Formats: sequence, structure tokens, C-alpha cells
Amino acid sequence: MATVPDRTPQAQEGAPRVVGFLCDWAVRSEGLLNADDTLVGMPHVTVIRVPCSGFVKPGWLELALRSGAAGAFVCGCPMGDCLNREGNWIMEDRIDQLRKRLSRQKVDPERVAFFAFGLHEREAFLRAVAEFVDRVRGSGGKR
Amino acid sequence: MYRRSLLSLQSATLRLDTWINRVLPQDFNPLYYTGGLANLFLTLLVVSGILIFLYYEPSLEGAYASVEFLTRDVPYGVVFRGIHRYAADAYLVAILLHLFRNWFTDRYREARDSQWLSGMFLLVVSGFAGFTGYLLVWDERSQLLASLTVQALRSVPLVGDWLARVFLGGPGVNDTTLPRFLFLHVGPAMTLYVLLWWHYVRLRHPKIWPPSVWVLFSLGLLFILASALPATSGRPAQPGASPEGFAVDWFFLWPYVLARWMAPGWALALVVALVASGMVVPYTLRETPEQRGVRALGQAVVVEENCTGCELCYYDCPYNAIYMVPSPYPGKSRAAANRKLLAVVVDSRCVECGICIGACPFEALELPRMLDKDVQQRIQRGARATAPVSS
Amino acid sequence: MREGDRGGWYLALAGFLAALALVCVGLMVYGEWFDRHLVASGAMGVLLVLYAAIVVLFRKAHLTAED
Ligand code: HEM
Ligand code: SF4
Ligand code: SF4
Repeated sequence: MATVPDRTPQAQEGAPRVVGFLCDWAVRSEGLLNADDTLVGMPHVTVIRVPCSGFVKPGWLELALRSGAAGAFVCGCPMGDCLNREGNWIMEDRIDQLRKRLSRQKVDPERVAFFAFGLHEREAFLRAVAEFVDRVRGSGGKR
Repeated sequence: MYRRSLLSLQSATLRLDTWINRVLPQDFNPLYYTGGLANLFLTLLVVSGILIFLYYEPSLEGAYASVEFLTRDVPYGVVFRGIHRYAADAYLVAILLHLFRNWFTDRYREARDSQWLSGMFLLVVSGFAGFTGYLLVWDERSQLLASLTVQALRSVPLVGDWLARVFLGGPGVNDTTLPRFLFLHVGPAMTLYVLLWWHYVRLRHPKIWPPSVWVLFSLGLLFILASALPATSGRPAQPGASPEGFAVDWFFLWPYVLARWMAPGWALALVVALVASGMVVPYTLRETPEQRGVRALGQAVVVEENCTGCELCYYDCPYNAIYMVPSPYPGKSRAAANRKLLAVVVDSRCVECGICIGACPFEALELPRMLDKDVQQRIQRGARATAPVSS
Repeated sequence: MREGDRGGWYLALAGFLAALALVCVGLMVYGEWFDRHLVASGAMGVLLVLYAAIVVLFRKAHLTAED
């Protein structure tokens, strides 16, 4: 999917802004975030903690992209282990639909993502976020 | 103390999941389907039970012989009998896994207490049906179990003698006793389905079936067990004989093992005490949300002006906490002006997950302490910040 | 990544299990024919467990997708 190359200053620094939503019950959050809600070691990634991944409105992800973020993601619990039974399945579905909508609007659907990591999987989570940031690098900016 | 051990048990449970998920694909993890597994074994019990029922004769003279006929002479009869027996054990193991998992992963209290309570009833009724199953064979083991049960019931204060009479259908074992035992086995098994309705009524599409891998594996395991360790009877029951030892099914008959060391009445009291404490588990830890380490964001609230009655929240709420009612008055927003239905949140069912908020395209639902507009602000701040503010 | 050749390994193992399952079918026929019913039902049990293992291996080799 072709996108307009980004000319905003933050993307040119090579650290694209990313907004993520993290479920309270997924990855253990002690020591995961800085005081301003950015990820430790990744100050360009803002994380908003939510009670369940299913709480996230797809519109919020679109809002993040529209407001200048290069990417937006949601992280829930491992599939099958949602505390609220279905939150992560529902969210995965909603993101699939959002991706279809985005590509109809000529926005790279790879800019939104869904992850599923449990309490003890912080390393894997951070790796997935870093990979995601790499993937959306350069596709940021306004649409 | 209790709280801290629960927390470390939760951590351990999830650690175990991480290991399992390394070996198996995530959606094959059997611990995510303990309820479904219990239901699978229950189904196998019903099917094999009906086949056995076709041959069973509930009479003092005929019961033992009819079971022997099934075991020896009916082709694969011994296999069906074995499947019925081992499925019962597997069923109990699955229920217990289910119980402990829901306990340790904090899925048992507040709005979920109804599932826990119905679960405890399921457990008791299942245990009872498992025990009465062993009475039906009417071998020496059945005889001993029956006499221990009568002793235990007799020692209940006030109503003891009456209970024992009800159990046997008379002052002692008589011609109506085995038909009664048959009912005490099949009746509770059917009651389970009524209780399961209660268990599921607050769950939207409960996962009542495990993934195909586990159906294949469980069925295979039962066939292997039933063939390698064929189910057998003891010697036939003799009026007046007092048998001593017998092979014991630990899963269902543990109270009778206890009855060796204590009066049967005390073993019964112990079972009752265990069940009673199980029933109060959801209400024992009185914690504030801070102590629990969760942010209580409040139960979902419908913003009545905006609700269009589109039912999307109703389909997504995993706890059936949203009801659609005929709209008593029109909404204010343009989309809501002509609505036919209005969403209503049933407070006692809502677990404050917010899934309905994600479902609603019309800004008509909110968690009171995490409002849409605040989230939007934080998103914009995160998306726009040009330089890291801290670190 | 090494994922590729490991996928081949999983498939080889699945093939081996499928061959074992065929032996089980033979045992089932034998058991039924010569009235060794416990052999037949035991072989059926092993067969089902083998099939379960094959389902997992197919998934791990990415032959089947989620759901
Ligand atoms: C006959 C035995 C039982 C069967 C077949 C059964 C089945 C199920 C099923 C299918 C679910 C839905 C799971 C999901 O979709 O997420 C469920 C949920 C639940 N069960 Fe059971 N169950 C049984 C016994 C028990 C027992 C003994 C307890 C504990 C005392 C229990 C406690 C619960 C709880 C608390 C939930 C709610 C979980 C949640 O809110 O996510 N169940 N059960
Ligand atoms: S927050 Fe919404 S989705 Fe979650 S239980 Fe309450 S009403 Fe249902
Ligand atoms: S999703 Fe929103 S608009 Fe639709 S019925 Fe529910 S509250 Fe009303």
C-alpha cells in the first residue's frame, strides 16, 4: 500500500510516534511505563492502560493515526485467556475490520496491530512493539 | 496471607500457561477450555450411560447379573462400561481444574459469583451422581458403600433416621432400593443440565466445547483406559455379609476412605463443611479495588441521549449484562431520534470490562471513571508529542 | 529463519504418526475379526490420540490456520 512519505520532524528523527493500548490483565505493568505513560526505553511509544483490550474503540486508533501517530496497537491477554472471556477475540475482529476500512481509505492497514501477551511475557511484548515501530517507520504522518 | 497466596497462585497459573503455549499453539491450551472439557466428558457420560441403561436391571437379584452380562457377553460392552467409568474420573478432574483455574485467575467474585455458586452446585450434584453410580452394580463394594452411607445418615441429628429411610426406600435394603438408587444416579445427572442453564445464563456464547484436538485426545485416552484396565465388579453382594477391602475410586469415594479412620457421620460432616466453605469463597475476601490492584472504573452507563438502539453492545457484552428494552422516549442526537430500542445495563451482571464501549459506534456508553473524552485527549497528546517529555 | 526446516520436520513426524495410525487400523480389523475386542478398542484409542497429535503437528507446521 503506497503512502505519502512523511515530512514531519518527529518521523524524520527516525522515531515514529506510536500510541498503544495495554490491557490491565495482560503484560505486568510494574516498571513498564515512564511517568508520562511512555514505554521504558521507547519514549516515542505512548501506552494507555485499559481495563480490557475490548474496551478500545476502533475510532480511537483512527484518531491516533489522524493526530500524527505513525501507528497504533492494542495488546490483550493470550487468546483464550481473556479475563472477560471474549475481549481479545472481539478486539482482534474489530482491528481486522478497521484494517479493511483503512485500506479503502488508502491508508496503510499495517499501521494498526493487535498483540496478545500474558503477565509473564514482557520481553516478547517489548520485542513485538519494537518490530511494530520498525514496520511503521516512514509511514507516519497525516493522511 | 490468603490474599498473597492467591496472588502467587495466579502468577504460577499464568506461568504454566506460558510454558504450555510454548509447546502448543495458544488456542490449543487445554487450560483455556476446562469448562468445555468438563462438558465434553459429561456428554460422553450421558451417551455411554444410555447404552448401559439399556442393559441394566434395577433389582436385588438381577442388577449384578445384568452388569456382568453387559461386561462379558455384549460385544464391546466392557469398553462402554470402562468409558463410563473413566469419563466420570476425567470429568471430575476437569471440573476441579476448572474450579481452581477460575479461583486463581480471579474469575469467581463480584459480578461473577453466580457462576461460582452454580458451579459449586454442579460439583456437589456431580459428586453425588458419581457415588450412586457405584451403588448400582450391587457387588460387595456397593453393599459396603450403602451401609456406610446409612450409618452416616443415621448420625445426622434429628432427621437422621428419616434420611436413611429415604435413601433405602424403607427401614432396610428391600425390593425398592435399587430402583431408588437408579433414580438417585440418573436424576442428579439430569439435574446437572438444569444447573448448567444457571451456570451459562450470564455468559454470552460460553465455550462449551474444547478444540478438536482435545476431543480426539480425550476420546482416545478413554478408549485406551477402558481397554487396558477393563472395568470390573467385585464379588456379588451377599445379604448379611460384611465385606472389608475393595478397590477404591479415589475421585468419587474419598469420603469413604476417610470413613475408615473416623465415624461415617464425621466424614459426612467434613464433606458438608468443605462444600459450605466452597460456597462462601466469593464473599470471603473483602478488598477495596486498590488492594486488588485493579482500577474500578465503574459499571458501564448508557448515555441515553445518544443510544440509537443498534444492539451492537448487546451482542458483544460477554456477561449478558445489556438488555435491549423498547425505547420509552426518543433520543436527542440525530441518529437516536427514531430509535425503537434502548440499551440498559444490568448492574449486578456488569464486570466493568468496557467491551460494550468499544462496540458502541455512537458514543452512547461510558465507563464512569474513564471517559471517552479523556482517552481522546491522551491519544492526541501521545500522537502529537514531538519530543519525549521525560526519561 | 529456521522455522522452515522445522516445519518439514513436523510434517515428517506427522507422516510417521499417520503410518502408525494405519497399523492401528490393521489392529482394529484383527481385533474385530478374531474377537479380541479389547485389542480393537485399544487400537482405536491409540489411533484417536495419534490423530490429535497430527492435528497439533499440522498446526505447528503452519499447514492449518487458527480456527
Ligand atoms: C459440570 C461441571 C461444569 C461445567 C460443564 C462447566 C462449564 C463452564 C463453561 C463452559 C464455562 C464458560 C467458560 C467460558 O466460555 O469462558 C464456565 C464458566 C465458569 N465456571 Fe464452570 N463448569 C462446571 C463446573 C464449575 C465449577 C465446579 C465451578 C467452581 C466452583 C465453576 C465456576 C465457573 C466460573 C466462575 C465461570 C465463569 C468464568 C468467567 O467469568 O470467565 N464451574 N463453566
Ligand atoms: S462493561 Fe459493558 S460489556 Fe462489560 S460487562 Fe459491563 S455491560 Fe457488559
Ligand atoms: S451500541 Fe451504543 S447505540 Fe447501539 S444499542 Fe448499544 S448503547 Fe445504544
